[in-house]
Amino acid sequence: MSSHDDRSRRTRETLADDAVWAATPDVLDDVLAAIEPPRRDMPRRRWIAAAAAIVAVLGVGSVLVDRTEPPDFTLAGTELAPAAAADVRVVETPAGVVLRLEIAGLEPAASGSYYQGWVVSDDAAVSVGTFHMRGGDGSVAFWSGVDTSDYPELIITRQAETAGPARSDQVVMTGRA
Amino acid sequence: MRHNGGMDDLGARFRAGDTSAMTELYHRYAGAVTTVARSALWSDDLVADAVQQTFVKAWGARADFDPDRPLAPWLYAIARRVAIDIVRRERRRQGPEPTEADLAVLPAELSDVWETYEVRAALDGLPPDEREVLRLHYFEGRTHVEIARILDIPVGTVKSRSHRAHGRLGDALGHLVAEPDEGPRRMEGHQ
Repeated sequence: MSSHDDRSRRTRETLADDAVWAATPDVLDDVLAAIEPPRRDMPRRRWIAAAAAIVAVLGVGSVLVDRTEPPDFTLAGTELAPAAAADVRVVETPAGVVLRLEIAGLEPAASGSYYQGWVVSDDAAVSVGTFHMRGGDGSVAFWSGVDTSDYPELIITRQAETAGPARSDQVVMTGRA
Repeated sequence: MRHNGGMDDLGARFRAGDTSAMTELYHRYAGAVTTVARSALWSDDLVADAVQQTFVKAWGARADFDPDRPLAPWLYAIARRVAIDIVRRERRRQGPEPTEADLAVLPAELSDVWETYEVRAALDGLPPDEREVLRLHYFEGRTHVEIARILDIPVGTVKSRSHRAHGRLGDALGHLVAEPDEGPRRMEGHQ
């Protein structure tokens, strides 16, 4: 048996291993809370004003959002996702701006596709992260490393995995701070 | 797409301290890290502890990561170290007091987990519908006909998903993963 065949055989045996299919613990929030730097006062900007209602930095190194507070702004679904909507809460940190979205009514991304967030100015757009909604939870956290006072619009696009990194024209949600 | 490679700029962003890169890293490798923890640890709480510690330690050690090298083996080494440390910590707690020689012995399950880690990372990169076909076949031992019945889809669709999934696995793992015969692979305890 060739080494190639042997590797293929071992892979198929591995695919029957319990550990390969073990459920992944949901500890991302704990990880992020442990690594995010503590919040400190920052220069006020337009988005930060929107963030004034928020906030909640509890303990050391945590960036938490009080979901009982009203959102800073909302996103509405476009004709591609008319049932979709999202509350957006904004938190300024020394490392950048966190945009926490609570999304409802947005279908899980189809196989071979995903969703991507963009902060948009009059003539440019900057990606702030991707997600897929396949886990039944609409909590999404974006990070923006650009001066968001210059990029006041947040949009969500549907992207094809094979289409490259450019922003697609399939906008499924949009809103402005 | 290789899932154990230093894809796109994730490694560079992670090393630079971009916390959004941590979120991406977690979504890409948390499952694979779980396989390492699950191979040595016996409770869900310990596994969760190990997964969390792995990513936090990786973040703390990111300055040591060479962004020109693949992320997967680097993260695997941290995951394995964390799992070993937790095993030893729990042995100390559960006593009797172990000797240094006892503590130096690695859990047998951790001696060769890399392949499992690599396969899991590749599986987590598959579309969910293709991944589910593989799970039903390899883990539950189902035939294509049974899978079609379970998923309420035509047998031909099961076969095409299986074919695509094996192709993607081959791309991710760097070797062709031969498609299996129709017979179930594993039936014990998974009827």
